Amino acid sequence: MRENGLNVVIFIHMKMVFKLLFPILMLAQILHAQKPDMSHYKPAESRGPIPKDFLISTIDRYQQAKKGIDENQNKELQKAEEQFYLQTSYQVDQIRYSGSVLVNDTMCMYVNMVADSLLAHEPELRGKIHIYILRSPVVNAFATDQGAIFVTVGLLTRLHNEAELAYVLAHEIIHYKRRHVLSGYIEGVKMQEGLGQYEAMTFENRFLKKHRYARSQESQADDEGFELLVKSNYDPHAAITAFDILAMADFPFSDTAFSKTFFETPFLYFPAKYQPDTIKPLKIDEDERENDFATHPSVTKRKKTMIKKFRKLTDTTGAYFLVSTDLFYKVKTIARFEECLLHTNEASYFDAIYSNYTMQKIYPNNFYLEKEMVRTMYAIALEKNRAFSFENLQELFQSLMTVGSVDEEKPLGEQGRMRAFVNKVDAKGWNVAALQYAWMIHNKYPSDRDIELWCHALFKELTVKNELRPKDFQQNDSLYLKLGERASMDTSIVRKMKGNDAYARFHAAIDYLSKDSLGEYKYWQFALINEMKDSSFVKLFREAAVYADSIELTDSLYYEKSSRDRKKIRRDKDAMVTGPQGLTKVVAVNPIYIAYDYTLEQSPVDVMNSFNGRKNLISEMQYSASKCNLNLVILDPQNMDTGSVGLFNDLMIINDWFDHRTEFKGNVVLPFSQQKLDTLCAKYGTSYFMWNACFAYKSKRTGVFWRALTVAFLPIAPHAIYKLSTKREDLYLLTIVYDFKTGKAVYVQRTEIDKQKVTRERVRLHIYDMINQLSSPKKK
Amino acid sequence: MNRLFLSLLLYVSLLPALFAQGRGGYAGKKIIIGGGIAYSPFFTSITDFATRYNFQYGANAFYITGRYSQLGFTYDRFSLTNNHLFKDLPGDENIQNTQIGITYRMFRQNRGGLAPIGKFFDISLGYLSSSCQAKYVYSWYGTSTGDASLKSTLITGSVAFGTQGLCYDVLLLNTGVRMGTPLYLLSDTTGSEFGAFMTQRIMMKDLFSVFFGASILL
Repeated sequence: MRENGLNVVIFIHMKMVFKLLFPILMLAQILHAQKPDMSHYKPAESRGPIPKDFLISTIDRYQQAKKGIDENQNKELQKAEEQFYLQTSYQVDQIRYSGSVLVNDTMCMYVNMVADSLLAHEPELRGKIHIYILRSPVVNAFATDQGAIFVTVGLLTRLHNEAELAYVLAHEIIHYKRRHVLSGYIEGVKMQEGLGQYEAMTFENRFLKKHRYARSQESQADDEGFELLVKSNYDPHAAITAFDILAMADFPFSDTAFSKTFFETPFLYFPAKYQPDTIKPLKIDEDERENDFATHPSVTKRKKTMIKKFRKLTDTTGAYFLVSTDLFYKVKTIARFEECLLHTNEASYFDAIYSNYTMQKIYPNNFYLEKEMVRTMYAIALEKNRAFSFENLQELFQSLMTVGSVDEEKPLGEQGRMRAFVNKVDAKGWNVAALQYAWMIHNKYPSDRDIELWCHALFKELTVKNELRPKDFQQNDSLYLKLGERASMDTSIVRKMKGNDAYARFHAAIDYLSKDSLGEYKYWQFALINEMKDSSFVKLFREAAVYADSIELTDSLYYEKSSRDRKKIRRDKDAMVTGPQGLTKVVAVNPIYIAYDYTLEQSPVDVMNSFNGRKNLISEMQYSASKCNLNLVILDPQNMDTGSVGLFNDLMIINDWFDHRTEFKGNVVLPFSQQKLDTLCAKYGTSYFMWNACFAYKSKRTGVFWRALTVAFLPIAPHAIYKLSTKREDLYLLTIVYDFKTGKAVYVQRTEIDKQKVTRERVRLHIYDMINQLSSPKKK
Repeated sequence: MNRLFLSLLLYVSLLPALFAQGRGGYAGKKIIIGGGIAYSPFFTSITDFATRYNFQYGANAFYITGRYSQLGFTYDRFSLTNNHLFKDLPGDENIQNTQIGITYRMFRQNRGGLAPIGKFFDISLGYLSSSCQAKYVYSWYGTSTGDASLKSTLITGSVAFGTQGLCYDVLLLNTGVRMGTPLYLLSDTTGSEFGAFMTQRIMMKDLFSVFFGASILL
């Protein structure tokens, strides 16, 4: 009995302990789920078999879609629908094969699982829908008429729960189900042609009506998407919060407090004035007005409508997570990690650095994030060091056009604070900070070749572009301490000091001492006191200085030469990239052929000619390569099989690299992983990768010149008649071959052929010539 | 003299062919054989021309010598009628002309030309032989008629602008305009003024002509 009593007491105690522990355990589990392990994170890439709809050709897809056209409708509308299928098949394929789509990776699998859960009661509809991830930091999702839905990485970073994702998918599914893309296109044709209800309208009224129609489609997708969400077991409240994501789409995924101390070290201190004290808070614009010319209703209006619908529901129960809470947070974190990379790839360095900063607050000492930070800081250093390029002038012009929208003194949000800070830091200061950070990470991960390369490149930037030498930096802390003491002698400065150690005194000196008192010393001159004690750092710095001196010498010798000699040097340099190259193996990356016909009514892209032209281009490349004994590997995403995921990922890397190459002119080390390129070189057995693009244009001839000439001079009449009876044709061909080992272009061929017929023979001639040049022995 | 000139032409034109690489041209094809016609308005002066045309026809053979050039021989024949515009020519027979020449054709790189397709510019040097069986009237012991065989040889030069296209990988078609002039009178029938007349006549004919050609690419 006593024993039983004891048991009861123990049971009661256990129950109490459990009651107390349960919420703690649950909280721990949620916290654990919200912070998945990312210590070995690697950039996302596609996996598994390539989906079937990636293996259908554009024309087959068009032919298939064309069968569904209603033959009883107006001939003009039939033609428009046919044109629509042709254009969308082509455009959606451009997205599919752009190297920006992820298939079967963790994010894609998860989003598809959510779609499974959402459409559990509609298996037929689910079978028609294919969801993919678009590698873009922009917050968006869109549906195509063929059932492909693309969800951006940016959207995944903003989600609060799975149900919100389900609602976004539901919205897009309704767009597909109701064939909104097609009806929107047809409506556009009707508007342009003045058919049906548009017949008696002015152009402005037609335009307004067309946009009203687009907004009605969006509202329909909102409403029916909500109904779809309600039918599933997801919490319908998510439909309301999903609009907050949309309203905050232009803001970063988190408003983490920014402090410049992140970039500072004991000896590198940025002046306090570089970081604005006050910021404007991020706020949703609740007063957003409906724009008559907008294709979407205002977010505020959409949210209010959704609240009304939600209130009408009798049963508002549902789950925020049906698939997996853990997986949701994992996917969200992956998306946020990816966003750091994608921002840098898109040259949005401020966004990249802030996303990275935010994630490093959660994941300190994360190799992926630290490496990405080195990459982004290096990219910004390159930008700052090339402040007077043409591109920068364009940017300057754009910023002048948007003057007033960016307030450097009181920026918007913490990201704005960081942006203002990075903007204010001078090129030398930033270069030093980037080098110091890169060196620190290099010492942490000495085996990583990319970080090592970026360190070397930052040394070169420091010596060549900023003309700094080891002697420009303080080797020990004597002057550092002296300046601090000088500051501490001024009582007005002492009052403002935060602490009374050597660091605080130096910081006060940098912030408050006048230029004369500072002795013209710059804050960054003290930054490398610790690093200058490292012999390997000093060795690299000196090597870079020797390199910079040699460049200066070469430049001065060049400018001492006569203009004729300089011309010859330039000509020889040009000949080096246009003449014979003596290559034996080249990889051609996704050749491009686009035929434009400006006499077409709807879109200038002539899809049929583009498709056939590309096929012809590839076969001509293969034919010429066989004739010239060149081993040519063509990476063609439009000719894949289910096992071509390797090719799919390779194209993603190559396209990313190409974007960087075009962003940074000149032969600089790119802020891109050389290790990835080395892997590709080893895989394909060559370091030469080629880009080919052909653009064929057709347009109407004005004919004035020929008519006038015929009248004036009869003998040329036959020629004039031919000219007047045909369209003007132009062809632009571009071939660039890069050596992935050096990142330099080894062969560049640009050909513009104006006012001449674009024939298969002409393309063959130029392609053969190009392949012949590549494979012919190099001139000594 | 004539033989020496011809031999020199032959050697000069064969040299690039001998040193050319096995590749190049149109997918490895470098030899072009064909023919063409040309017509030129019947100029009497720079500002006045008749609606009649001087037709010329001939054969040619080219070799693609580089990425932007081809070199070749031309052989042309044409007849020129004597007429009221040139009253001082003895007799009114047709003048038979044979011309052999060498042409260096350069494709315009800046307009996307690449041998053998595209816009081109060429320079030609020709050896023209003209002959005429002229009837003449003479009076010695009363009025009588007779035949005279007149002959002259000329060096001509011309430049042309045109365009060349390719069909079915073998058929080359070209068209353009040519402007030329006699450069030097090499020989003339003794005592006649036929050479001087031909120099004038060819100048009027070569001043401006439109040509069309078709060739086979081998």
